[in-house]
Amino acid sequence: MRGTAWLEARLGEGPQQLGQIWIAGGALRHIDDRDAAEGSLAPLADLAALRETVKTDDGGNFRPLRGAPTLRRGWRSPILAAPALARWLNVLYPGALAFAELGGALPVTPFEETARRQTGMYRLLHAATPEQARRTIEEVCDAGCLRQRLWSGGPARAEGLPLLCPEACNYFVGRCRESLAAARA
Amino acid sequence: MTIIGGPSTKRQKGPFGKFRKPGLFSKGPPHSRIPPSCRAPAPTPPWSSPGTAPPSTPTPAGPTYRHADLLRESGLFAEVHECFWKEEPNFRHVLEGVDAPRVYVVPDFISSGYFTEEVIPRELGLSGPVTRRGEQEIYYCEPVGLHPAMTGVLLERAAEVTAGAPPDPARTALFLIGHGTGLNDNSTKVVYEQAARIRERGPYAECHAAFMEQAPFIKDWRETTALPHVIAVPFFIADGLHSYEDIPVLLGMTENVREHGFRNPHPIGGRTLWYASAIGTDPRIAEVVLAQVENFDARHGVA
Ligand code: SF4
Repeated sequence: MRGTAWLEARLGEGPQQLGQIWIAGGALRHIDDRDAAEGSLAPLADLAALRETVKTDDGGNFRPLRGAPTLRRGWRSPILAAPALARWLNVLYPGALAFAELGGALPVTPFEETARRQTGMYRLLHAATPEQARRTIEEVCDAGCLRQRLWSGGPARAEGLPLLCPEACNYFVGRCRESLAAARA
Repeated sequence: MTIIGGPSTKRQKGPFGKFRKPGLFSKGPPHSRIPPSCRAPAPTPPWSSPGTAPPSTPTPAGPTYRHADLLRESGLFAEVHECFWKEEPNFRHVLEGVDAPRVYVVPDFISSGYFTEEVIPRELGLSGPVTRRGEQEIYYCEPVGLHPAMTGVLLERAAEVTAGAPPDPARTALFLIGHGTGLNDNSTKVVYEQAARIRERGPYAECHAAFMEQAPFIKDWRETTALPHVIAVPFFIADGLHSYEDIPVLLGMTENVREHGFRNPHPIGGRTLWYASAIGTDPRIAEVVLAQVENFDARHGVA
């Protein structure tokens, strides 16, 4: 997986933070559990268990955005070698390691292009104005995502390793469509 | 959809075909060789446990994750990724995370249509069956539902749901249930095709294609067949509203499948009905993904 070598190099420098994750000693846990006793954290056995954990927040609400700062606490991963760590992190923050490794070579897509590409029920986005896009950015990205928007010059919002967003995600596209549809109705 | 980067150095050529490892996905007692993490889901989704709210958007991604996990654990490929339209990881940027120089893309879809023909190629930047992208070659395979191996998966699923007390096949009708909106003729076609294949093989006295929203309607199953035993298998890629709620009602079942799971059989109007979960949840779909990769290699002369 792309990003594995990059991760290994970062871990060679010491423990790291990625979004709400603390990576130390080959294992992952929530950043707020950084100092928790190992025995107080529930061990997650595999990727399937991790997926269940990232699926909902503390209130049991579905987390449509993996970049949302609503990750559950109270768990720990097994001690993993770099390739497996990369796979676990890819469940927590899909694409993050690959995007970070690509760095300047990561293609960035402006919103207009993303909007123009849409078909079917998302064709509505062809009519999105910069103002509507800006409002969705406020509501969706600024209010609920730790990733750094490269496609509209957003600030770095997360501490630690870069958590990049090279293009408006499908959740954003869906929410933008909803507000366009509502404005039409 | 499953993205496979590979093959890995462990790729084997052997009596089971070049991607097969003996015993990996082969037949056996139900799910016996499937790692626990990949077994069929508990019938009750976690969010329906007391005290938790339902998700705002239930997603059908679960089976795809399990098939991908199975393929990962098989070690046949250097990398296995999964990606989705409405859920992360999204289609759009998944290829950026693939290191392997040769990438197979296998849609975990029941048929070809808008998504497999338009959305996936667009989002992944595919220009045809073979796309070159820098150092990478990307091979776009057919959706799992189109592979002839699906026939075997359907029959094994039918055998499994009736395993407790197998009915006399000579007095049993198998129904394959599709959605059938008329929006996508292809999805209707694959249900008919599979039913025809099963009739040719002839393990049951009858096999019918039936649909939720078009004739022949599944709600009319009691008119479609006069046989006393009926097995119904939804030809869907994931369980959800249709397989948990709509189809059971159309079949005349009174049980709450979402709460109680797929318990069988159901006595209905003097007949016996066995009802299976969506075929796409079957762990053997991982084997069909492999079969689509082999199929691609054979059709496009990939060595
Ligand atoms: S588009 Fe916004 S919400 Fe979506 S991943 Fe990027 S920053 Fe997060």
